[in-house]
Amino acid sequence: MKACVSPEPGTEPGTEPAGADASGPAPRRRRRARGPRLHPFGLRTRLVLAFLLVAAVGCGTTAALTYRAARNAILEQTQDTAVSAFRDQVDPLVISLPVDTRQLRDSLLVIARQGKPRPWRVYAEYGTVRVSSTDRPTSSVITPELRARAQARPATPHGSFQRVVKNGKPYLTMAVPAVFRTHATKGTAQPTGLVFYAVMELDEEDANIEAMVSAARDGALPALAVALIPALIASRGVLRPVRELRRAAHSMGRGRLDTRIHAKGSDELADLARTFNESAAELERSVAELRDAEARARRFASDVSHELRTPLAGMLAVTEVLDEDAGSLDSDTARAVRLISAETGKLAVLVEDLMEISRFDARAAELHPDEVDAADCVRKTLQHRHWTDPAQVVPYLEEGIRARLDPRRFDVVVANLVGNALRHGAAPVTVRLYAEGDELVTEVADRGPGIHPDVLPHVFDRFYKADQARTRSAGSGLGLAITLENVRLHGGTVRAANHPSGGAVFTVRMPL
Amino acid sequence: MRRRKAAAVRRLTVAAVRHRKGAAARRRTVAAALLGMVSLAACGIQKSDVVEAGGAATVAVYPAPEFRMVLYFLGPDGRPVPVVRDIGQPVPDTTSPWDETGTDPKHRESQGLGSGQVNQERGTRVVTDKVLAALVAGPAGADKAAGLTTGLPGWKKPPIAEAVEEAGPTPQGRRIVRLRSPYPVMELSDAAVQQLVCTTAYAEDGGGMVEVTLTSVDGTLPATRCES
Amino acid sequence: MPRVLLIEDDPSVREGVELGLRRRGHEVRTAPTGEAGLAALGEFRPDLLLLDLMLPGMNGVQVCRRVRESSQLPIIMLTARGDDFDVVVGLEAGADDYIVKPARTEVIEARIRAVLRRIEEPGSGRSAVEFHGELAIDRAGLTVAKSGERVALAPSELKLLLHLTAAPEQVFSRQQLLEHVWEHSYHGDARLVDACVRRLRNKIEDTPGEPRYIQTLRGFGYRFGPL
Repeated sequence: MKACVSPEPGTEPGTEPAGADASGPAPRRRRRARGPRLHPFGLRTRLVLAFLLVAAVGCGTTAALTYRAARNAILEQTQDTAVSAFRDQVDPLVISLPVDTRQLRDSLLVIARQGKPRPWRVYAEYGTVRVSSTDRPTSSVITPELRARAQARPATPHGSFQRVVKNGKPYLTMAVPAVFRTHATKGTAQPTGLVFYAVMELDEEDANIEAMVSAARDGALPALAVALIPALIASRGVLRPVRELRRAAHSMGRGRLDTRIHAKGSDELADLARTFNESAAELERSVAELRDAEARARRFASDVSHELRTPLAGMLAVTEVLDEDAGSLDSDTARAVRLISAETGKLAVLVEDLMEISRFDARAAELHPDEVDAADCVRKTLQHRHWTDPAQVVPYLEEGIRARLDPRRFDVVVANLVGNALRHGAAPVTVRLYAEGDELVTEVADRGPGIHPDVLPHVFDRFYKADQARTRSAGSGLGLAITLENVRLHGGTVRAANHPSGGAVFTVRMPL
Repeated sequence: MRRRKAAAVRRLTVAAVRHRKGAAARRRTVAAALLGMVSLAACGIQKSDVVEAGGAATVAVYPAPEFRMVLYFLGPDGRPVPVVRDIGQPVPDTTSPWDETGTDPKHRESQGLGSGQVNQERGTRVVTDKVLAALVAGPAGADKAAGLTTGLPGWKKPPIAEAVEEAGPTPQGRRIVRLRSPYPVMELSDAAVQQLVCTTAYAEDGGGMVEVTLTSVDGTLPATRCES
Repeated sequence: MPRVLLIEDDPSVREGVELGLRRRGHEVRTAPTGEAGLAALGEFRPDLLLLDLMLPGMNGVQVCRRVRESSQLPIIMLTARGDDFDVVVGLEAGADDYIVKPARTEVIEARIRAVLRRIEEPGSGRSAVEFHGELAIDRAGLTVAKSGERVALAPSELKLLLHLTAAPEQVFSRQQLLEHVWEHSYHGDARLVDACVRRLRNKIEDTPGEPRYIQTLRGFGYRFGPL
């Protein structure tokens, strides 16, 4: 028995009718109400990065090009000066062939002292003879390529140079082949086979260039730092409206449709803000129209039932007369009269229910809570409706629960659920009442065929007919809708579900 | 070409995929550009290739042209290298048969054996023969010390130079001198031939404007000029 | 059979209720306005007044007050559900009960009978007059006096006081009181009880704000005393 009162959890999802949860809108709102989030790669970061990138590229390119030009200028000047100075130094030499090593060394020592623009070491090579201004006969800095070029025998011999970096130190190596005139006036200069080399350290140029690099860097870094300021300002300019827009959209989402953004300026963001405002105004107007229409419709329903009530009051007062006298009338008239009487009663119920629903819609329904004994309450409801036959209704009521509720509305809830179960389900209907945590749980289960899954989400809808063939049920069609509203008014929930062992189960949970 | 077309078609068909990859590609482009910029600005002094700069240095060779003769031996790299020898006394430079200014005494003073031909008599080549004899004798001690060698075999007698009048000057205005060798010449290495040619050329003419043919019993080598 | 005066402006309701009650043997007089009803009061001398709250001109609440100025005539209000505020005001003005329109005649008659029903006599052996503090309650004569002065009580007030004093210091829930005093169903409108208690306190308590006789027990209901 216990199993049939608590529907399996598996059957629960999807069985909860839309809107059956009285606290429905609250979590939805909570979900929407998000605090400001931190974006690691948000607009601000991206804008700032873009600014910095542009600044870096700009600075870098300028610095790089300037540096390149300056470096080349420095080097070219050094190289040209050195090569021509070297040649000028070699030019006036007088040599014998084959070379006189001692004499050549003296000459080299002289040249070595006159390095321009910087001191150099000088070497001479002739055949296998190696002479230098230093204590080593030749330099390892001089590359075979330079040697090959210097010893080549083109039509017009020429000097050449090469920059070499050895052990991280830059050198300028120069080679000048010596030629001699074979005749005082005639003919061309002929190679002597003697090649002069000079090796000059470029550390001073290196230092100069190094200084340029650091100057470029020292200039670029503050430039980047300065670029950060306009980047932040620009991102602020973009982000403020965006933030405002987000706030406004958020606020609109929470239903404050009169939210507007202060749109100033003529940029795209201001356009966006204006568009937002126009859309918001349009939305507000549409929603207001919809609400008006809805309110009109509700008022109309309320007015109609109100107007119906007065004639019904007169009619209902005389139905007894009709019923009593029907026996003395001829059978057709009697049937007609009884029909009128019966339908008047139903009409009165329908109008009352409509009035009740209208009051809920207009939020005019008031709760008059009282401290009551819950079991007593249910028992009285069943007694009052004459549902005392155990074959019809079986109550399992936990005694001694004191609950604060509106007895009249609770009576309506229980009566509607039991009435519904008796009408659409099958006897015996079990009514269970127990406290669970701080909730009062009322369960009404029947032994009928249950509710079709397609119908389940709609059982609490107004005038929803589960069976389309049946045009009108014995109830008003508003019973469960009123039940739902009454439960909501108590801050509770009502669910419809099918019990695995058959039959429909309605569960009402209300705070104690 | 066809392959490129196919590639283009493929590019079209995968355009949608490409589109998605576009952002990544753009990022790669930017990265490449930045990299290029960095390499452009590569810091410090870079090593370079060998760069030609200006002419060679023209040194004076002692002794002066009038007091020297120029012999060509071979350097360690196998190329002819000039060697200058003092001949003790200046050799007056008589004009060549084609030299119109030959009678100018100033020229006599300034030009000597060391730099060119000394023709005592028309058709005889006394000085040239002397020079050739020195060449055939091979490098001296100082020359050897400097690593010079000769490509010529150990000839006992030098070739005899004679002018080739009948051919007239070459289109470049060079005279042709024939060397008659008592030894076979066809087996001589190119370097040895160059030694003979260059030595003869500069013994005959200060400007070296001479082509030399080498002839012997085994044949005649075509007219060659000094390539040094 | 009781004589009923019905003040109701809507002719169909007026006629229908009159017809229904008359068929059940009541002597019914009707009036379409409050003024006409008050005028008919002295001449017809009804046992009970059925009073529509929504009346043109003088409204039901005003009529109710006027009647209570001079008489303890049982008054039942006719009201439409939803006119909640009117119900409260009507009850404060001194009505004994109310009926929500539309209602069947049997319901109306049941209410009329309940209001008119006399409080049953308590068991024998008790003196006719009980004294509770300064209150003297004559159960036989159905009169109440405070410090010797007679207090005029409407039927519902009298019945409530008699019910409470029959078992002094016993707590009655409002639903119980509704069932026993008003003969309503258990789920009736507890405001009937509250309004009646307020009226009663105004008449018998020294300071209605700090009641001595009819005390409230929050969450449970009311009790008489302890003094």
